[in-house]
Amino acid sequence: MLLCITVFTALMIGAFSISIGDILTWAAGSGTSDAAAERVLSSIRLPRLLAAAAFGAALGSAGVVLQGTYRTHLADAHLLGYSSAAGVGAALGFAITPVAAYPVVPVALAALGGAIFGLVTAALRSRAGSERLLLAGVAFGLAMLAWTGLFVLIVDSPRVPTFMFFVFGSLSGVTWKALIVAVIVLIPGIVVLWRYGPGLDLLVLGDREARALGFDTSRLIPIVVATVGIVVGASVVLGGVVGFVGLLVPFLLRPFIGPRHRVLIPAAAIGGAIAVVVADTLARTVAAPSEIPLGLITAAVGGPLLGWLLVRRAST
Amino acid sequence: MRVTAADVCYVAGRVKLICDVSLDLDSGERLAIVGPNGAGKSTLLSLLSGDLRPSRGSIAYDALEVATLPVHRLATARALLGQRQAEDIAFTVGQVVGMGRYAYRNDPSVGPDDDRRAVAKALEALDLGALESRPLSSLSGGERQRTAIARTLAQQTPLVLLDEPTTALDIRHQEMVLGVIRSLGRDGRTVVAVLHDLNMSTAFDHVILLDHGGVAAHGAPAEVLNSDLLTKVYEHPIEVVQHPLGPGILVLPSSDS
Repeated sequence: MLLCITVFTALMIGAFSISIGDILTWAAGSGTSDAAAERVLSSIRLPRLLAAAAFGAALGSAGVVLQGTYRTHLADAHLLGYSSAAGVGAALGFAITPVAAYPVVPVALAALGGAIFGLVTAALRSRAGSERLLLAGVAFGLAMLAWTGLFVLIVDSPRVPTFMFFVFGSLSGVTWKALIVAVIVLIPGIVVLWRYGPGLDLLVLGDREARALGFDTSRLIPIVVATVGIVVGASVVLGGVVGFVGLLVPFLLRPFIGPRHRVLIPAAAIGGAIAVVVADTLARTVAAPSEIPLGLITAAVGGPLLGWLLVRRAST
Repeated sequence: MRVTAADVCYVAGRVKLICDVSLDLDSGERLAIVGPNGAGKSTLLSLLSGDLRPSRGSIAYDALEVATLPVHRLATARALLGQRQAEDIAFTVGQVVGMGRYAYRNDPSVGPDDDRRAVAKALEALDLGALESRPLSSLSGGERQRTAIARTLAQQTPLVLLDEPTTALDIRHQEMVLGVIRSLGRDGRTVVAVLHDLNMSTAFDHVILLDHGGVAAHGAPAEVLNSDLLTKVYEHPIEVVQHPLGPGILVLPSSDS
């Protein structure tokens, strides 16, 4: 229901506003009275809406899974450095792929970057505690952001998005081609993560207990975090590097739906989709006709909200 | 299930945590591991569980070498209660006990009804029925400990390994856990427990007394629990007296002064 309202609102408003009647007739396939409205809907607003939903679903589910793996509610793909690692791969991929082509190479390299980063942190996970890993993730993330920045500036190619894309993200350049390639990677990835849900539940008891109960931590955790890296990688090609979604959405959901990953993963995917569709609608309408980067909205709204929730929950 | 350990050693860095330990337990036998802090009790339990691999020697369940068994096979052969229980857990008691069934999730011969029955039985054995839907984070240390024991029971394995199972339990629940251990033995399940309370080891078939990673004594409780040996191993005067109310013995520390 919430998703429906969000979807219609997102399709209606923008630099060019479209009535709900026009959207419904267009959706019914009978063609709208207004050719311009139809063009805006099908080639700009709809792919962007779907990309926002896919992007949010990836960040939400990745956040939940990383929180389970690292046993802290303060983990997410952005904070731990997965997004920036995928960003490096995406930047390299964009540099060697023509703009009009299907972005198979950027998605593949971004997924590879995310997966390699996941495997490295999985290897460190058993040695370092959660707090240290979080700090290390922040440090790695900033370093990779810097490398991406250097790369973008040195290459200076129209094929590579601006540095802003890799810092604050944006869904403004989304195409149907990018959406299709990313979704082909994203959805199976989220399904794989969902399948590991019951095993992720066991990790809350500790690695030793999880192993004693039959979850092979040394074999399965690398698979899980590499899958997270792949999902995040595919999402970064769509919307760049955006924070707070993976932290905030699970944080809001947990009190209502409990700790089970089989429920949390799909819920965080839907919640993340709604959150990013809303944030992106704000991003393109608040200062229309100019755009605000998506990550500025999520940080400006999500940051204080998360801080307030953390303080409030700590005191109860 | 027969559990055997042959000349097992475990070396961490250059320190021998366990050396030259051999055991042979038949189905239904109960073994207590006792000894001073740092004697290697938990290390021996981890070795028996397959979580640690021996640096030398071998451990086998029936004829199967434990080191060769994959994690999911081990989980249907033995259950392991660790020493510390996680505290801040949003899962309910019922869900945590249900985690004991994880290893059976891909077994076609085990259905959801079997899982439910195993969980219900484990909850009942530990007197947790009333707490089933309470989140673990809202429980006391003793209630969490009982939940963890119930989880190991729900695993329904032929071997049950318990590290200090009566930690944080009041006297009634301590007796309850000893009763559970006895009934496991009657069902033909092998039990190995690390104990800090020497008196509890009298409820076991065998006692192994560890000292600095080696075996100081191994035998029936009445043989191992003798005052001279315990005084030497624990470096504190210990008396073993006849129990005033029954046929058993009672281990008492005597004061230095």
